[in-house]
Amino acid sequence: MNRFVVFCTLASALTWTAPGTAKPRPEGDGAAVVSPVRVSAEVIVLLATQADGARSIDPAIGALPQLSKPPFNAYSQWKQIDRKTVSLERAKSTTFSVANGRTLQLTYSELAADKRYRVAAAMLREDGSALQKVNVVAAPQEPFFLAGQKYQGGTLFIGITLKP
Amino acid sequence: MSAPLPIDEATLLALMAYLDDELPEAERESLELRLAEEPLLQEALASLVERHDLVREAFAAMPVPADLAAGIVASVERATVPPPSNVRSLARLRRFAPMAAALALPAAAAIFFVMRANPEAPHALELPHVEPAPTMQAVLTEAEDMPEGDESAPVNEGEGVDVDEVEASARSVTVFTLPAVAARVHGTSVVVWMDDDDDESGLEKQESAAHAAPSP
Repeated sequence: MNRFVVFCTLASALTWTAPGTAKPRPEGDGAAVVSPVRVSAEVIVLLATQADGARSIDPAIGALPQLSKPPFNAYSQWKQIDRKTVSLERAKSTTFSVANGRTLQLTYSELAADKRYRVAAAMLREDGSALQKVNVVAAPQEPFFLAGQKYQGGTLFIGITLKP
Repeated sequence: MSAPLPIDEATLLALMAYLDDELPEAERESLELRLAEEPLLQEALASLVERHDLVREAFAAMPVPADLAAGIVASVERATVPPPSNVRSLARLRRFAPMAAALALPAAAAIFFVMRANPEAPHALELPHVEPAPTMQAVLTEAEDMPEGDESAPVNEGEGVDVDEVEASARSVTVFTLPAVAARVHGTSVVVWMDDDDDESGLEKQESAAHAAPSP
């Protein structure tokens, strides 16, 4: 009898204290991600051309290992047209003039649960109408590019990197 | 046994040929001049004549077999007869051994290089190599063969760039997903490529290609 009581007592204790018996608390429960009011974004405009001769990369571009991958590696000449850091305010659009007369419009909406920024990047024509628009979720320091616009016999690559 | 002749081998051969009357006339006259002036050469010649006579006398007492010629012919024929079957098979195998060895090495090398070239686990985000192309169309054509957008998931959750939505008036839109190009680079990079429809040449092409294949 005594042994039975001791066994039941131990079993009960183990049931209450064993890990995994309690429902796991949902991750992030009670700790919602707060989107910052502002986030900085670096915009770089590159002109890519295909010409005879050796491969040439503007030193001002800096370290951009993506240039060795498609579609970048289809071009042999790379030149930095513009580089600027802009401040994006949440839910507000920020514009950036591009060399070909069009406008890049960036709109930062929120910081997602996985700590990546939800951003809309749009290319506007001279009359303000949208030529293209891309909605991305981008991690900090991870560039994404809008490419394909023609300029001075080459192709523009517009890189956008969020730098909080 | 007689003592060795005190002359060099070339002169000895010349003397032997002289005895057999096989020297060319010019060499014979030259040798005869030497024989007249060199006593040592005369002694060597005399010794050769003596040996020659001894050998002739010894074989003169030995009768020549009547079937000597036939025996020689028979032994020649025996040397050219094919060997038994098992020996033949082995010989045939031996014949192909060099060829087999020559083929085995390249085959082994080919297998080695094929196994090396075939990646164990292709990177989920790795794109095929694109040769440099002078035209954007060539780039876009190449892009059509590239992995779908679903494969562009970031390497780690919370890293990289994902494209949620693309709105464009372009004829074609292609999303490139670039893998991490270096160990220190986490996640991926994304390139959203759109045809520049507002370009005049592009509009002309659109009008002339009104019945072209549908865009992807």
